[in-house]
Amino acid sequence: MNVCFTLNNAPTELDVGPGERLVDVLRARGYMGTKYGCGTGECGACVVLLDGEPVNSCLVLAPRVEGKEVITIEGVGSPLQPHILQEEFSKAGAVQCGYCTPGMILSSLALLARNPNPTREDVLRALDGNLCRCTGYVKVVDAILSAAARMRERKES
Amino acid sequence: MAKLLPRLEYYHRPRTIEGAKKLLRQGKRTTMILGGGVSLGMIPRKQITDVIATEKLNLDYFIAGEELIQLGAGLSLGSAARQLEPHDDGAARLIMEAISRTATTPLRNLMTIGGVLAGVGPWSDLPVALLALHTTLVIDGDQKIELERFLLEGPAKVLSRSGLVTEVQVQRTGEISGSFMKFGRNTTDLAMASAAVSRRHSPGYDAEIRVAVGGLVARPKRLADVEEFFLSERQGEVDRSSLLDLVSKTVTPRPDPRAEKEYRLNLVTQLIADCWEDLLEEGQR
Amino acid sequence: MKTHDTKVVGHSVLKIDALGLAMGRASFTDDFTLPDMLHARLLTSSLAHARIKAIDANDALSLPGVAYILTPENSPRVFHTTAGQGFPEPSPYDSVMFDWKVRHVGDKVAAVAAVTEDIAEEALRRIRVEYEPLEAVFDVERALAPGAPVIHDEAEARAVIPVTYEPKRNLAAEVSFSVGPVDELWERSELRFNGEYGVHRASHCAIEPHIAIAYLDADARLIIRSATQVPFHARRIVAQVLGIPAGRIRVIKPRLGGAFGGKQEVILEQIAGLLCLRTGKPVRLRMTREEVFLTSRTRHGQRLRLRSTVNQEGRVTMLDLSTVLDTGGYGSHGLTVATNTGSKVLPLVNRTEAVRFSAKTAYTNLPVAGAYRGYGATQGSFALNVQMDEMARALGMDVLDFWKRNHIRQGESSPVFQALGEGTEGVPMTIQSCGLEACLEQGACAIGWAQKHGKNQKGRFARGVGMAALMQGSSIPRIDMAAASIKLNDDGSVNLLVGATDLGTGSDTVLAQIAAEVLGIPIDKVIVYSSDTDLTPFDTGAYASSTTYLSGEAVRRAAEDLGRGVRRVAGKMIGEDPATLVLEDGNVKSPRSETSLGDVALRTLYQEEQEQLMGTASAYSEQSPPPFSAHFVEVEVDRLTGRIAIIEYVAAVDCGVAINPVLAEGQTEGAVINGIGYALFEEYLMDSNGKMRNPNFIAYRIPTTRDFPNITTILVPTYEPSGPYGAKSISEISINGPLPAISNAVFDAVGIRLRHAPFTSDRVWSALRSI
Repeated sequence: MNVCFTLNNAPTELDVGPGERLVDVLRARGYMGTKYGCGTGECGACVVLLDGEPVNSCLVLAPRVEGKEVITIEGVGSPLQPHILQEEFSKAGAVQCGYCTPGMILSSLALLARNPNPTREDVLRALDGNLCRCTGYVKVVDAILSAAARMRERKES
Repeated sequence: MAKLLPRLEYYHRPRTIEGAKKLLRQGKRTTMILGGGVSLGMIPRKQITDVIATEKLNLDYFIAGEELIQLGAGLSLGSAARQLEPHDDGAARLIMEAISRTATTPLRNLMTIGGVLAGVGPWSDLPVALLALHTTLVIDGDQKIELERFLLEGPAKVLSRSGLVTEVQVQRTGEISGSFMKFGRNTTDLAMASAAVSRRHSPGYDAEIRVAVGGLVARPKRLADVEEFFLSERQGEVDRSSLLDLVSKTVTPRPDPRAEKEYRLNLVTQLIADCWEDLLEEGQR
Repeated sequence: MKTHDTKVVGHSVLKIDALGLAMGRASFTDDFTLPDMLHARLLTSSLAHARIKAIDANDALSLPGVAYILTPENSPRVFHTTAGQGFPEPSPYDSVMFDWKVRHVGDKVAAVAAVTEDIAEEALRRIRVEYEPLEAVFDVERALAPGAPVIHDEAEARAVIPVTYEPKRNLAAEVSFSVGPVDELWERSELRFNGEYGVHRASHCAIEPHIAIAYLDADARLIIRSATQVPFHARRIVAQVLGIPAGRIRVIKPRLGGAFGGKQEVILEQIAGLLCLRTGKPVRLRMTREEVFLTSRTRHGQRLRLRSTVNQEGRVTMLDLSTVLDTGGYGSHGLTVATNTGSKVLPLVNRTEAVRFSAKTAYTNLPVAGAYRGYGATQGSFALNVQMDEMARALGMDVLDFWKRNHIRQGESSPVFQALGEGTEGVPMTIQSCGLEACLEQGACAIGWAQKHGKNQKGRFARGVGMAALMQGSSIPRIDMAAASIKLNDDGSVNLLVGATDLGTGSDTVLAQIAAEVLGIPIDKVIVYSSDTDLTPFDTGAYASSTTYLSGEAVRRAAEDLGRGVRRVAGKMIGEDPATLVLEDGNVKSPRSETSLGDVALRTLYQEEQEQLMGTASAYSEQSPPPFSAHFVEVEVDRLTGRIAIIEYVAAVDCGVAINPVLAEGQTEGAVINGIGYALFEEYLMDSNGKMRNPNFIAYRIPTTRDFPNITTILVPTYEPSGPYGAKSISEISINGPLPAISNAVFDAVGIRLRHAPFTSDRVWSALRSI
């Protein structure tokens, strides 16, 4: 069946199987930043933004995105112009294996869109659906807080 | 990865409740109503051929009126929490607390109010809090059923008669204070035990206390004996061992590989008592 | 301590692959697809112990889209070990690709390759397997008792090095040594301690599941992209199992989505490879999360007994550690995890008059154990540190002071080093760097030990502090080898080719820093490629805490080798003695003149006496210098629910010189939180038929952001003379701390001694009720 939606700000029309998962549909079309980790919605490696909010794309049937806006990590920054979050994750040492990182960055993006000045606790809550086995989360939280500060500065100036 | 629903042939997107009901009537055993779809991760449904999706039913509304909070069945838990946030009354806060302890941020953005109620089980958090409030469900847009009755009879029975949950109505009149607590192995675990306690003062009426528990029972359950116990309790510290006796008499825990029944009975007792003390403290403030 | 004025080493340069990963750029095994690629799935056993009487795949084969099905009937019966270790392996040859017997729930029975995963999955359901159920055994003691069902009754199962291996008794490995009058000390000591400690099975839970993709190149060589820690061992094992020369196989390791020991196991590569050879098509085989739990590997559960004696002055005079390991259905790493339980733990307390260690590894019909970060030290450290706390309390001493009277120091040794090797005798070693005392002091100070310890709190919520002292190793002496090569490009940049395997730890960055330091170039001039059996030199792989220490040393030597060539040519160019030239800021300098690496490259590549300047080197170690660490934790115990809340955690670590401090901290923080999850709630919940009841992240919990405590990492600098720029290892050690530190902190808080992990709230509650 056909699904029309906006993918990383571009109008997109795809032919999908009704029972397919959004993560598979995206990956099959080359959006490899969306990862598979568990298939049960617990690990968050497959997080994308659906109408601006993070969701586990392994539990989203592809037809569900009809008329909606999907943002994947490929829609955040570009190789030559990374997003501040991507830079700060790299600087802080928040990227170890990097498998969970795209999902974490998308969750962070949604948080900062709503709350540009989050507390540590806000960050911990917003990222509770993104499992990471490498970092222990310490540097992830640091990265998000410093990205938030830089993004506020940029907005002010 | 394998498909989420490998046999799915039709993804129906009815735009009216009537349309949805019609599809439901025509449906086979392999037809299902889809809320957020989160339960598909937990309970694979390999045989499903038809899905009746609820996203085009315009049920994702949130109305906070004088007397009622109305939550459309299609509203995601995440969205509900964001819209409840500015509201400062006890009912809103109790719902908020239960939502914030449900699953994780991305899952809450998928889970819907309707899905949470239709798929209610031992893992449910929000229904425990709702049960501690005066909550009514709207079925098929026009029939109402008390949440308590819905839970006693079971969603399968209630919904097979009529159809789909379309709205949840929570009364917010009177002065309500409430508390929700949940216990799992870690913060985002499915509840091993959960409890919600509310107290409502309405002018001209006696104070009313509601106590509901989840986690160790098949569906959230009100504990009338415990409510009586608190009504007779003087303000102060709870006699937790009497409470444990009472809880043990009225709650039969289902098996849970995570811990023995005796422990979980203790756990739910502590949670109820903590909720109660939390509520008293709030009253003093 | 030697100090070095270094420009790149010792600095937290940006992890070289971080930004690309943060952009979500295609990097991992599964991010590449090939035309006509088939998708494979495994059929696994639902029974814990059974013989396969018949297997019928005809119905499945007739399903449109099914390309090939491997079963015991049509797969090679080559006995091997899946443990990716040096050759000949210390693990027994007790595995075949698909056997006529299943030995645990989740054991491999067959594999289907089909055009989609859905078809492959449907085909799995259509394979009919006729089982003859056998009595199963789920307990190590029972497994080792006479009359127990024999799990490996096949004649071919064997050890390939001279070690104890008695499969007829379900004994997969045995090791022991004894120095000094153990029993005599036990008999005559007044202060003696004897405790049993239980440590459980757990899953690594790398977020990327195990995956391999196999395809044929234009010359029909078998190419395997794999999420592996051990590409070279994988090549060797695939060659062995498929009966083709290693030269016909190429294993490529792209970015890895975490491993922690779980990907030191060669399980999928040979199956994907064979399906590819049989079909001629690319084959992708990825485990589901459930398969990762059931069919890949776990930590070895252990039942340890520690006996000790101590004299009135507070010196430990004897340690006697014995343990039984549960290796599950196959003996992967069964011997070496056993030995490491002693060798990476007992030397910490080296002022004893006697020390004994014995270990038995038993087969059971449970999921298969293997390598897991910590590798035995996690289990042994628990027993030792809890008993040290018990001893200190019995003596009325602060455990911190007690440790200071007993721990190993620089210039000292332990008989354990010589006694325990990996399937052989060990290697004697004198400690050349030890910052444990500083770790103990700085960690205690950071947590506020003096103010918080021994407070005996009343009330519902009680706080306490606990600590643990730890060591690990850095590579396996006389066994591991790492190699690197490095070549100079036109612009003065270099390609660094290493067999070392970056699992996400950042080892590519650390190795690039070492090369940059030697050659006096900025880090962005070092282009790292790891690891590819066709292109990079050999490396035993990323395990045994070896990469920084051993692969780093190989890189240092290779860069020195290239540096000599650069100086030789530059000397000619600027008319100076090469020996006097210094590599700095991308230039080759004498006090009088200089030229650039780029100019040296241009001359050698295009202009005069042309040659490719390159360096190559290997490293091999006679020793395994331990990193040391002291961990401290403050907990709060809720007496009514048994919940343990972690208030604060401090890990002070001596890893020698931290080549990249931020990455070293990251290793520590990640290990600590994994250790905390393991101590508190990560657990296989098994039913009475040996079936795991929680094989998914819904029911098997691992820590999330909302569970994470304040973690403070203190890097205590020392200088390890045998390591590159003074470095030792860091990646494993810190997973060993949380179990004992938390157990000791709970005792400090509420007076219960938790000797069996995990410390779930119900167990704590039960223990609290029984005092």
